[in-house]
Amino acid sequence: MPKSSIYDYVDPLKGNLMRAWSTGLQKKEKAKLNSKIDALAMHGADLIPGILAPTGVPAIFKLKVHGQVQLRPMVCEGPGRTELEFTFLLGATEESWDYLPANAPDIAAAIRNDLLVHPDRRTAHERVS
Amino acid sequence: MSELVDKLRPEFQDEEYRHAYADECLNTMIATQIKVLREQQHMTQTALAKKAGMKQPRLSVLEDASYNSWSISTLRRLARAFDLTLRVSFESFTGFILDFESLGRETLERTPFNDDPLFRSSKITTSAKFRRRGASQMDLAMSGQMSLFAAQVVPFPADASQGTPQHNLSLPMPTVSQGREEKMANAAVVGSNG
Repeated sequence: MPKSSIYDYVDPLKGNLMRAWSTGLQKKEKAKLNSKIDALAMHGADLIPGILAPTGVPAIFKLKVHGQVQLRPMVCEGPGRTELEFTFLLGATEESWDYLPANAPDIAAAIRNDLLVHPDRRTAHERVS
Repeated sequence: MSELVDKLRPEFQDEEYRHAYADECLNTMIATQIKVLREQQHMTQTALAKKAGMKQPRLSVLEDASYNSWSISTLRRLARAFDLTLRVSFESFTGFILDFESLGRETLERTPFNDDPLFRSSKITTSAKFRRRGASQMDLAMSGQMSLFAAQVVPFPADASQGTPQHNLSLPMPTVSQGREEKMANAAVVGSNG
């Protein structure tokens, strides 16, 4: 039984940003990403060490998936029920401490603020495999 | 029925996908157990690192679910520091995923040698009755019918018939992994039914 519910932000113009980003990943990357998302949903960030890391921007975390490409999708707790939900805000990668997109945590913070105003702009996480 | 297995059944038809997924699960499970064991033994990262003959920053890296460069020798050093032993085994995907699904403190904690009742009393090891009980449980574990995470040695109440203290290798009650065999059977039935 999942411990937490996982959601994706849905941009009013661009749709599900996380899904669009995930679709472009290699098969192996999708598998590793899904493994980490399943771990987060089933066991939460408290049990699994280092699964979420702070980005330096308040309330914005990165899900860490190691690989040839370092996947770092931006995620926040809640934003409503912070102990029971996580919402993916946008997809991102990291190389040599630089994000792609470059200001991913700041973009994610803006998205989170939008989500606080428009809580309906999200959907249950859409798994891409 | 396992929700996770339901989700993974179509995805795992692809060999590259299932191995990548399982590798990532393994990273998550090892890092999580190191952290859980360290906390169970009330050690800081610095204290555990010292016992394992490494620096704290190194241990911090090992205690990260995204670390993926495990070596048997490093895991042996950690096992020694915990006063536990290391077991490495090959697993079916179903068994492995069910263990991943049932991950939790209670399934990851282990009894260090000094608290291990099996080795604390000379009476236990000379008891033929205990050896028979223990062997049957260990056989279950070794054959994969019992979760490797679930095996625990727990004190058993005094045996009324003999009036002597007894211990028994016992499975935890059906909280997390007692239903593993049943889950595996269900998964097989559903899988064969399409």
